[in-house]
Amino acid sequence: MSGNILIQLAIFFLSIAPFTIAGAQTLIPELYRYFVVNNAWMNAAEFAQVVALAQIAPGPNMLVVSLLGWKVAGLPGLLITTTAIIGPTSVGAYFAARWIEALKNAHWLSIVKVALAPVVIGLMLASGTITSRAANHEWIGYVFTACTAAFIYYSNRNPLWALGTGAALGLLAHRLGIMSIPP
Amino acid sequence: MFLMIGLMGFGGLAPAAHHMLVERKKWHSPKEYVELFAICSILPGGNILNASIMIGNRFQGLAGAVASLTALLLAPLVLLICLALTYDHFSYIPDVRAAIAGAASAAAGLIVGTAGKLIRGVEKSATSLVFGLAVFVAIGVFRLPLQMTLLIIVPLSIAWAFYRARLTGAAK
Repeated sequence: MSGNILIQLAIFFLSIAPFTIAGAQTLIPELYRYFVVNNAWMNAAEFAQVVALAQIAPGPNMLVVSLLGWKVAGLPGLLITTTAIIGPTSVGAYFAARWIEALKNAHWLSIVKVALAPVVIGLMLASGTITSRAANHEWIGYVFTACTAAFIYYSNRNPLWALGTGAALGLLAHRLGIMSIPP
Repeated sequence: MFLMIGLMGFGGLAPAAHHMLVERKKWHSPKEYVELFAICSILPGGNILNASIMIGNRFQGLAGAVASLTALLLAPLVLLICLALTYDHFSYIPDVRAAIAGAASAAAGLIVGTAGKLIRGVEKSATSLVFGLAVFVAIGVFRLPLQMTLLIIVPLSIAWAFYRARLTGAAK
């Protein structure tokens, strides 16, 4: 049974790895669909917690994938998902390094970059929408989300400030009775 | 091995990587670094992860690439597991759950805010608005699969960018 889950995880992450552009945040909608909607391995609130924990921890944000693997299938799950998501693109980057000199001066590089930028932004906004739906089930949560978005947009401080403040306010709101605890 | 130590230092965040590689170790000139990052961000995969492979490869070949990727991932992974275990251990406490719920709301805002920052930095045109909106609506609203959406929109967007570059080239 658990071997079966590992194979499923491996196939899923190998299949989405080539579609990772700019980083893990653009993958979140697809991860949500797979873990919460299709397989019901966790509920929306748990998914949002995993995203938050991965943001709090230092390191590449691709680690959200590792944490999802860990939640579903423990250490083997973590190793499988991490390898499956990083493996194919790493091999790609290794071979691309051979042509790096040629790539550096290619004028099409900047054209492709310009073409990808709106796609990345669309993905990030979709990702933000899905994460806030998953994280918030009451008005107060949406207030936190909106305030954090404004903070990140207008300030260049470390995002950990925002996450820490969110945690403190979550605690406060709970104590004041204006936020219930997610299931 | 020196590579491993060097890369252990940074938590995988882009500013930290820049600080370590360009300012402290002087392995890269700022210009080289910008070029490298431009390439890494259009290749599929996490851009820092890709950069670590390219840099490792440049100094020590395959062994260097493997070493720097592993070094980059190992410490954060161990920390992440500790964090997750700690959370699982204390998650029965209502206050802890409330705090993480607050952090989760903030994490969603973090993604939205980052998207906002990206919008500020990008060249705005009607077509980029169309492509950006198309992706957002397909994935954020209709929740279509990522693969399908990207396979349709990315080639269109790239084709359009080349077409436009050619037009402006011809006008000169």
